[in-house]
Amino acid sequence: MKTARLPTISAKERIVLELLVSSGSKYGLQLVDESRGRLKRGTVYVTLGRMEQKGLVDSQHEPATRDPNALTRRMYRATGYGRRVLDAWTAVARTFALEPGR
Amino acid sequence: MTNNDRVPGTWLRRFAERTFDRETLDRVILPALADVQYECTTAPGPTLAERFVRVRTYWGFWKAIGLCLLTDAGRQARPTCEGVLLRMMITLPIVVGAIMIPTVNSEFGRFDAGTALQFVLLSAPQALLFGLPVTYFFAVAMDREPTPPLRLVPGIFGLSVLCTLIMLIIAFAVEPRANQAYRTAVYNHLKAAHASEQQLNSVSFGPEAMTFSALVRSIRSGRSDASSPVARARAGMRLAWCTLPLAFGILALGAANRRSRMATFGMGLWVLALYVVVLRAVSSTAGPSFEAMCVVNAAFTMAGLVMVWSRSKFGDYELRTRV
Repeated sequence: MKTARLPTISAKERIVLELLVSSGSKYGLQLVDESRGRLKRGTVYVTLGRMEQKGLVDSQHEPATRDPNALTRRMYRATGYGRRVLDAWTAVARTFALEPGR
Repeated sequence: MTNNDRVPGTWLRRFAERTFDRETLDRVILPALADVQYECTTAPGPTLAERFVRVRTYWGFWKAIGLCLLTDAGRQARPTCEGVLLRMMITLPIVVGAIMIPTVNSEFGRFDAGTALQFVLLSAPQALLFGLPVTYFFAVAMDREPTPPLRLVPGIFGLSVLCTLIMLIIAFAVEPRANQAYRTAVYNHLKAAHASEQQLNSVSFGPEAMTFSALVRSIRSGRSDASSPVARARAGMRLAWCTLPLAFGILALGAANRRSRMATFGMGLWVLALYVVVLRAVSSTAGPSFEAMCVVNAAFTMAGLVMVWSRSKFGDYELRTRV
């Protein structure tokens, strides 16, 4: 029987999801600031890009209020799928944490 | 806003637009650049704090660029590498087999099966040495995927360097030993067959070949044939000069104009012929003329650039992605 492939998330992806689920939409730099050093400026957008590709997060541009030539920043939020994956992984982590003698 | 009223990161944006595909640009580069602009425009006045913010934000941006370059190069090179390697795996046994037909024919006609097999196996490195570049040339020349030439560059360059290294190892480490073993086997065979003194003397063991490991050792420690730093540097140059020509030549081939296949073919043969000459010159004990190697390498580089340019000008692909 063919088994369904389970979604996997890396440690960094989990941190991003936790931050987005706990406090709603955020900019990339806000995520870096609030992660207390666990996310880095150079890698946060690579992680977010990968997560967007996986469907764990989605993004929208901020309203253009500054210079029209300037780029608009992106605001990220967790998708419903992302929330479910995080819940599943949290449950798995909790189960293994409670299992004695391993 | 900066002092000259230009949005920070304008040049970086142009650079990124010419370098990355749309997806990477949209998902990673532009959001990172938006942060650069945001932080630079909201930073406090011209103070040390502002400089710190600028350095930090640009450093983060360049880290993201570096990561994307690596992942992009891998992703873009993969189809090229897979295609070329598959074609090589199919054609290499055929080419090497074809090269060895005369040897097999001759040895099995003259000796018993065991001895003939020994001679054939000892001839294999030489056949491989000639077969590998020929196979590689055809595998790359046949690569006519509808991919922009710049996307092919990382894959073809990586494969060229790999192929060249394998050839160098065969040329300097395997082939000299196999040749000496071949000569020894012939000598022993003649001796066992009570051959005349004249026949025994006809087996030439040749001068001591400079092996690849000896060359590398001379570059690293200077204890082999190079004792001074200058001599070590020259040995390093020799190694580099004998690696680079093929890499540049094949690079030119891979990026050559799709419409001029005959020119590509001729160019490829020229590259291979010169490469064999260069390799032989480097492996000889006398060593090649430094100036001659420079001329050959410059010619390869120029040819590569001209072919890349011709493809961008007359070819059917855009050289860069534009947003």
